[in-house]
Amino acid sequence: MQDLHESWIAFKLGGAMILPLSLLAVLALAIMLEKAVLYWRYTRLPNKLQQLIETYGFDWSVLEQELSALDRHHYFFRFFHVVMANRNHPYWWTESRAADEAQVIESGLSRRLWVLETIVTAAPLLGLMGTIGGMMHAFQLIGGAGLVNPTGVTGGVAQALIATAVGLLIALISLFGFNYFSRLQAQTMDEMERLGTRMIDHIRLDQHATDNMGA
Amino acid sequence: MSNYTIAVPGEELSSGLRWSLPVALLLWVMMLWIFGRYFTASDQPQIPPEPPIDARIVELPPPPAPPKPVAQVEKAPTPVKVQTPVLQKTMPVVVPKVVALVTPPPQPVAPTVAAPPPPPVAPTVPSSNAQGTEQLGARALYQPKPKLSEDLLDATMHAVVMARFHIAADGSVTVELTQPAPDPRVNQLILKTLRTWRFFPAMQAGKPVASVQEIKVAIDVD
Repeated sequence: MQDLHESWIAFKLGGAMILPLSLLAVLALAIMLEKAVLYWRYTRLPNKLQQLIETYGFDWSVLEQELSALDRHHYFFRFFHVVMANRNHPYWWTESRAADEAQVIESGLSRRLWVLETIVTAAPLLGLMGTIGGMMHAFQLIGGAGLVNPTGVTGGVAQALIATAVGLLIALISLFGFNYFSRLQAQTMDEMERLGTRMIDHIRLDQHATDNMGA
Repeated sequence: MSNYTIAVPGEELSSGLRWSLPVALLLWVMMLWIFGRYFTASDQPQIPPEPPIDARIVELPPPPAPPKPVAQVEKAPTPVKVQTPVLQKTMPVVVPKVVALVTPPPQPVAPTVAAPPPPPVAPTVPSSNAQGTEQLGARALYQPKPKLSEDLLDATMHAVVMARFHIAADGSVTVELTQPAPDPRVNQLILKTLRTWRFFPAMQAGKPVASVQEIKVAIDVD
């Protein structure tokens, strides 16, 4: 209880800028948590399914069976499902639908990452605002009749330092999160493009074989 | 495959914030808690080592004998030299030699110059009916030396002042110069220093009582 009280005093020393900084921090943490769970649950591809698609001439029924084990919201399930549902259409049509779905998936993966990127820049600026406020308050106490309230001056300096430290801490955490999840997004889209190309190639081979048989 | 519906972008993400926001809030509170603990821990005031107190061992007069009024009247108080000067020639401010002559409270020694009568305070002299009660005079606990600047040294060569201390039962002290030095600035400095002296109050029957002490302060600059 004493620790909580001391933490609350330190929090109050940070000044008014601690509140928007805390809002940014909670938002950044929430986005990073959401992204972490998202990538953990909806983008990890089972090795068996990956190896099956990379094998030329796989059976579509086997692929459909493997896909049924995935969550309906899994991004690879959605992508592969679109390709499979359109595999009897001309391959250019299937390719176009797969590209559309990939674009939708990319939008989902990058959703709210701009907020994280904004926090990376905004948090230190807010901390600097707190610094300016604290310093102005401290200098106002010094001016005029001289140093009449040393406690107030040191409190202003502490406020400035705390706001800056919190802002930099939030920016650092957000920067690591933004770069990490941007990298994960790029890796996921590369993997999806590579496997989609395999499937389109398979469809084109099938259609080419059918055309040859009809001829 | 026929039941497949095209997902709205970010549909499942919107629900993601419903649980991640409270968790993030909890995490942030924990981080602030840790940050606050670190801040307050590093903000603990470092207690500086106390500077050495410039004090001396004071020889106290022996406690008066059991109350025998006749004996006390006959026996004149003998001034006791309580301070030994310390000469520090290397210091920037020359410290004058201070000699305090303590006169026990029962019969204050009248200064050579006619001094005003002592204020009415509770006498430390036991009354005739206080036979058998234990009595102990006030003791000085802290007696810093007055430090005079260079320009005042000439005026204080071998100066002797008499100071009267009114020591209350709670140990508080009021002091007045019954025989001041010629220079008023020297008197101010001496009074300023004497006001910092601390006394243990006189005891009578185990209880602190007010008392008066006349102390001769000799300032001898070598």
